[in-house]
Amino acid sequence: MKKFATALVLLSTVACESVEPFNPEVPDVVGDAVAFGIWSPAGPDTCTAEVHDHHHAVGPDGLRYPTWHPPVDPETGCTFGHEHGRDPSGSDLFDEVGAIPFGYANQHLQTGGFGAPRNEDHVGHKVEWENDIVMNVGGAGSQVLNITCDVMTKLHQGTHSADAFTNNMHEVVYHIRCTDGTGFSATLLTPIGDAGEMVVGCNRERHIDAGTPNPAISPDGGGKRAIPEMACLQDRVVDPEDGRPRFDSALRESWEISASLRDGNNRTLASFNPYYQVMDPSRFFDASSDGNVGRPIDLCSVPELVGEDRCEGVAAGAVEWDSPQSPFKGVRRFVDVNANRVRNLDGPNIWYTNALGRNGSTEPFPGSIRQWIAIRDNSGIDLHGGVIGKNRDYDGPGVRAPN
Amino acid sequence: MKPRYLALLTLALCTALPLSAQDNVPTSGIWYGVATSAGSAKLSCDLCDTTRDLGGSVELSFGAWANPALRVGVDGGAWTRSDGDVREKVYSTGVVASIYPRPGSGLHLIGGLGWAGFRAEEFSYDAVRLRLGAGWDLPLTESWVAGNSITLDGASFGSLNNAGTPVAESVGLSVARFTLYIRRR
Repeated sequence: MKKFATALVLLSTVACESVEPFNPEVPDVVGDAVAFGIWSPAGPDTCTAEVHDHHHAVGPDGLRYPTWHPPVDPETGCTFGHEHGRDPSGSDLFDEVGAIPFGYANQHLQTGGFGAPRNEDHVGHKVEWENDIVMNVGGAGSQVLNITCDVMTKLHQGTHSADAFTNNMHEVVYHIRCTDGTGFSATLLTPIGDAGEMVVGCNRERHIDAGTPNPAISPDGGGKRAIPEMACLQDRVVDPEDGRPRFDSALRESWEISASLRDGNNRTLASFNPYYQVMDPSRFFDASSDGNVGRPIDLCSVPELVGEDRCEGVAAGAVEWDSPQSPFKGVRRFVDVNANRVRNLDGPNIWYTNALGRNGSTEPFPGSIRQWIAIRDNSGIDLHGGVIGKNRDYDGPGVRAPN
Repeated sequence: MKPRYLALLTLALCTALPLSAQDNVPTSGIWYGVATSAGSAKLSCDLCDTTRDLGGSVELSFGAWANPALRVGVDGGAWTRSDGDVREKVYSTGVVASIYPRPGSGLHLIGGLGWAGFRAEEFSYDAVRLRLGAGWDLPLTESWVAGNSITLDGASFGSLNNAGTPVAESVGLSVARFTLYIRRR
């Protein structure tokens, strides 16, 4: 009998150590999130808001959220005028993590104790993923080990307005599963760089105090938002040394995240620092323009630039910044996966954090977000990912800024 | 030296020496030798890069004849290759025995037991290794023999560490070698 009892204890121990799934059952719908239903057609968009809202996901809180959809509605053929990146259903992680509810962290920011709301527009949610990424391992690791990962991520990265000049809090969703056991699923609002300040894309030493952030109590974060400024276009497009304009070089944006999930003692459970890059934003910082927003398309009307580089095929003065014919609409993007660290050897898999990824607890609390972290410590390897999405662009019928 | 050149050299030695000369190989007292090999090494684990990498190695050994059919001793050596900026190395040492099924013939079977250690910058692996193989002695003079052998070193049950931190468990290591050697007695 004693042996039997011991066996039972061992079995129960094994059961307790089994991996908990990331995604709980989807609950019944109880209402709509703030992010739901905020898009409506304008200009040449042919889809109605009703068709758009048909594309939604139900969050773990039972609220309806917008989610990924193609630029053209597959049922009606109408166009939305914006895109959300790569179809997540092709990711090997999709069956496990499901559709991404856009704005879930924004929704729970205040109920988790933060003193002000932070809501983001609809079109800025951009999905990117890649299966079986061959990872780099620090030192001699890449010669010795062969580790692959599936990564799916979503960042709210609006590159059409002045929002990111001052606002550093942006929603990021990041799922990673690797063959060495490294893995986590994180959803949070992460402060990228200092609030109210941006870094000049072509000169990272220059910081511009762009104004008051929204919300005003936004905390400073690691990383940076490197955004083009008029001087970048002046140096690399209008008056380049070799006479050859290079819009991509001048306009390239890089939002360099330094995000983490932490427990109640501020101990890091998982951290990641991907760089989200956009080659063709539809705006740049221009202190001489209304709202500090300059439009790259306007440079295509400069006599010396007509038909040059990205202005090729653009009729001078005939294409508006928000036209589908503009070559600047934020559809050429890629992600540097970079480092992925897990320090969760003692478990459990499921942690509940506030919307900023802090105050992690093993029990849910008001405003908490359910996060999943592998029971692992991968400090022995410096696991770095490469670039994903560089050979793709997400242009499609009707796609235009704001996108 | 590339493997095909080693093979050609071995073939030349085999054809140059009369088989009858093998009857003159001394089979008592102390022996010692030096060997050079072309060999390939591979780590085996769920996460390991399973490419079998080709490199070169050297080995020193010495010991004594236990009887005309059994030669025992200790050996130690190193295998290495360069992979980009990273140099991979396998060190080994242990006891070795060669059994001559037909005393007076150059044919012998090789067995050994010892330690093998893999190193690549901060990555390290250490485990007990077993050696199996076969060789052929070819007399050069009354005191010296040359020869060739094929051996396989296998190690398992170790962990792969990075700067002392385990990154993979139940790791295996194998090194296959084609060896040319000279040995006194």
